[in-house]
Amino acid sequence: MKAVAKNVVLGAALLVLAAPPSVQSQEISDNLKGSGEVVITSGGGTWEEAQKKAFFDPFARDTGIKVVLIPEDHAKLLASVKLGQPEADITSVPGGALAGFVNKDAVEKVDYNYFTRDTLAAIPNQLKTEYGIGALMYSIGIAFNTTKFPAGKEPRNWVDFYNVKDFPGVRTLPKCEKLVDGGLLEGALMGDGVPADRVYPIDMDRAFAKVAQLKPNVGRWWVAGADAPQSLISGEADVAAAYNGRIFGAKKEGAPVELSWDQSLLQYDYWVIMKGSPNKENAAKFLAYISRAKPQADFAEAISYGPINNEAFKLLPKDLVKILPGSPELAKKQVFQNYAWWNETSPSGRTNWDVALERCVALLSQ
Amino acid sequence: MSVASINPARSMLQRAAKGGVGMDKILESGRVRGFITSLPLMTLLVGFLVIPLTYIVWGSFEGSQLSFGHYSRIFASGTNLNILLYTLRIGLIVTIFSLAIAYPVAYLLTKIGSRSFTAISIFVLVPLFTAFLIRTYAWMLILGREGVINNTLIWLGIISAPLQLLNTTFAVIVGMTHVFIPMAIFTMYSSMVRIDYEVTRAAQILGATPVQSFLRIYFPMSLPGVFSAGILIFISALGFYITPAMLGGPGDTMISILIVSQMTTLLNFELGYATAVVLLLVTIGILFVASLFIPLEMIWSSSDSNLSDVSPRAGARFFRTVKSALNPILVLAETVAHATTKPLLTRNGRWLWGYTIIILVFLTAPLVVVFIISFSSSPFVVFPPPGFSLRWWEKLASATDWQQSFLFSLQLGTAASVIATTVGTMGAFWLVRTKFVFKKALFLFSLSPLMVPVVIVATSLYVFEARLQLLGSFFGLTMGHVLLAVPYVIVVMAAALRNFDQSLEPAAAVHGARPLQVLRFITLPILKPALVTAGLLAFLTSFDELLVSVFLLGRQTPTLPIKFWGDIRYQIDPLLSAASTFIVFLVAVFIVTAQVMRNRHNARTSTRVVG
Repeated sequence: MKAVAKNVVLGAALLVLAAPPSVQSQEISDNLKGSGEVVITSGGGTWEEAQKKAFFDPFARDTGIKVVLIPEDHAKLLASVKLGQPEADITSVPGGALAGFVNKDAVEKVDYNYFTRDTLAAIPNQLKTEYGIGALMYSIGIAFNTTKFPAGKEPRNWVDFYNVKDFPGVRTLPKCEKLVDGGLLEGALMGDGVPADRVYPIDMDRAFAKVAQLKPNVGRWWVAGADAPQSLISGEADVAAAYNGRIFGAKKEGAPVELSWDQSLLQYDYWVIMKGSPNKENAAKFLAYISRAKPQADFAEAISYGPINNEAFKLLPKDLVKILPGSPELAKKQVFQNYAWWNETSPSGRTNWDVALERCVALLSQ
Repeated sequence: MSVASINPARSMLQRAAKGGVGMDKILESGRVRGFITSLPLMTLLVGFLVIPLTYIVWGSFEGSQLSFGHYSRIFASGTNLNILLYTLRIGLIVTIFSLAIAYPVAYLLTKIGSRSFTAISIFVLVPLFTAFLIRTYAWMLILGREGVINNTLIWLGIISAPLQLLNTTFAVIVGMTHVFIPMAIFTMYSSMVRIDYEVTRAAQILGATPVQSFLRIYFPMSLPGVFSAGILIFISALGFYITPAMLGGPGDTMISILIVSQMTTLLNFELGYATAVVLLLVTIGILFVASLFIPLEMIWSSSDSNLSDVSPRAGARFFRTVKSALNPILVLAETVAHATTKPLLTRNGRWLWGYTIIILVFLTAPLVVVFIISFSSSPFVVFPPPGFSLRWWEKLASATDWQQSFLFSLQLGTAASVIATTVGTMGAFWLVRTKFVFKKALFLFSLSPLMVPVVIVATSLYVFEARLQLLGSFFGLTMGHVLLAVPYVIVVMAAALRNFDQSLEPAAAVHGARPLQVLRFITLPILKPALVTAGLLAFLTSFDELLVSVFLLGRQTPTLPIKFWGDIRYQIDPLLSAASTFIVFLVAVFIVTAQVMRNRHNARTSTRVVG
């Protein structure tokens, strides 16, 4: 097994050496170049395709470091870290999950020495933390089937979403497993009239009461990101709390769906380096490489998720920037999800997230 | 037997006679035989389940801290109890439905010629080869608010507003029953096929009505098959989570969903471990209580040991009293049943055929939807498709990664199936043929890989194989699949062995066959239908397995289910249906070819005998 891996690496290295000078590598600083490999988890599907195009292939080409992909599962990855044999060097985690990874002592500090000053300056502060560097921006917003609502009468925000009288139709909301990623309680509070800047700290009693009130009108509780657009397209639901990337992906292919940005939640993932990673240096080089404006712009172009590097917006067509989470224009309508609050410990000794999950399961299984 | 097949057999007998003398002496001792047959199974269960699970149990108590905190948290919440009860209830309902629906089909399969048998088994088997994820999506399209059923009913004017079929417990039961009916059919068939019809005919000659001879003669003889299928389905159903999560409503939370969200959302592994331990104990408890009322021994005790010899336990005694008290009612019911079914039964099984066809339609319905969608012009999974196109088939033809995954899954499934069938069959021989005290406990133990939620099996195997440096190897991955497949093999083989006429073996031995020859030329050929069923179930277990593969894969080619899962998480497009349709097509071709070859072989050998 090891011998095979070595041969592959050797082969890859030879290929790079033998590459004719006509293959122009991008302008990258020499300290990002290297050898060996970096192991990254991947979710597969269109997601992996976009990452490959924007990150993995250019990185391998420009630095000579091979990228190895393995299927993503965080339970498995954490078990491997605990054993001292991390299966991957890098993975990405939802913003709310970072604290859990840090508490479990599962991640290394990010080495920002490989980042250029320009790159660092273009990344917002909450996206460059000690243990995680932003991976991408995404949003959960109000999506609807355009054939079900006449022009001008579409649901625009959470208040409309929770108003079944003026905006009749079946709803779909995230199930408890996706409580935080799907912004269930934030949406409920804004639906109940709480202004965007007063959402945190979340009043759980009020939020759950609002969800309970809407429950008879929720035809489907989704568990996977692709579920919400699928429900809109198949007619299972008319209005959805859905991820922007999935909705715009479907829209690009001709589906009658639209997303409203009003009161949408701005969310992000972090890249983390696993504790005890044998390729720590290559991992840091990878993160420094892909955080630059160009790869970030390429990724946004491939899958309609927002770049974490503000300079990237300048490299993208105007039409696209208008629909990218975190873009200066949209950010005004959006609410940053407060991951810190979700990971705060409540008086019961458990995190707010833990408490909310239990209450959610209790509510839905009634 | 034909001449052609006796000749090679004889030469093999002679060849084997030269080499195997020392071996035979050893094999004559029952204890040695028991040891040898039990060894692979026990190694597998202890090595790949018990030892890895100690890690989980240890973790659930926070290791040396011996904390019961996670357990008290589980029992402190009424919601958790509700989820557990819901899981058990769904398991029971699905089991009863699957058995009741499958029984007549299995019965019909034992009575028909080989050509109709092949036809029916294709329709029963083929749905199993559509990846379970796309199958679940097909159910969503059939049951949905604007799905096939609702649209048809509205079009016919029967209803005016769509019925809520999807996202209900009803949909969960439909989806799960659909998965288990084929398993029920084949498990029951492989033991029913050994029942001698002459016995029921004899009963009728002696004056029993057809209903009586069925209820009092045939049905009791078929019970071992029914119980084996029932136990398998019940235990497997408790661990289901993707189907209920996708088809069910807000309240349809199975306990495995709870465990997965404790582990992956909260990263609270220890709580997940504790929940899994509770589930395991509850399952064992239920099976133990069930064994007081249902004679589970029927599955594994061989037919020569008379059941009535054993002093009946409280439950059985209670049952017998109830039975004799109910006798007059039973007779009355039989008479009524006889009167009503008489016109039906005399029509030579036409009703049975009609019923079977309805079931086959139910089994193939999702497949038909999947097939049609694979030719859709739409990039979305919508039904009916807006137009016809071959784009997904073209995409599939050029997708080398899909082809590699397919070949790898095929390899893996074959390896897992061969090993599981060998290990499981040896284990079944040991469990059925050897006499020892803790038989019931050992039998339930051999089913334990199904009682532990898959995510827990996956986690514990991961840690275990990492320590053994097996992680990411083909062998390590195969053993994970073998572990999950072995219970199916054991149950199927045990039920078949139980109905096996053991006097055939001494008869062969008297005529000079050595133990291994008896096995090869007498025992295994007779068990062939059961072996095929067992091997097939083992293959399918591996072919459709997701979680253990994700954990143990390492850097090998992703298996097909991993590919499916990756695609379905971000975008659902008809490529999956094209891939599934292609696999189904291959399976159908394989079954038909095998049947044609067998027919041709039979035809050739029989003409040679005549010539």
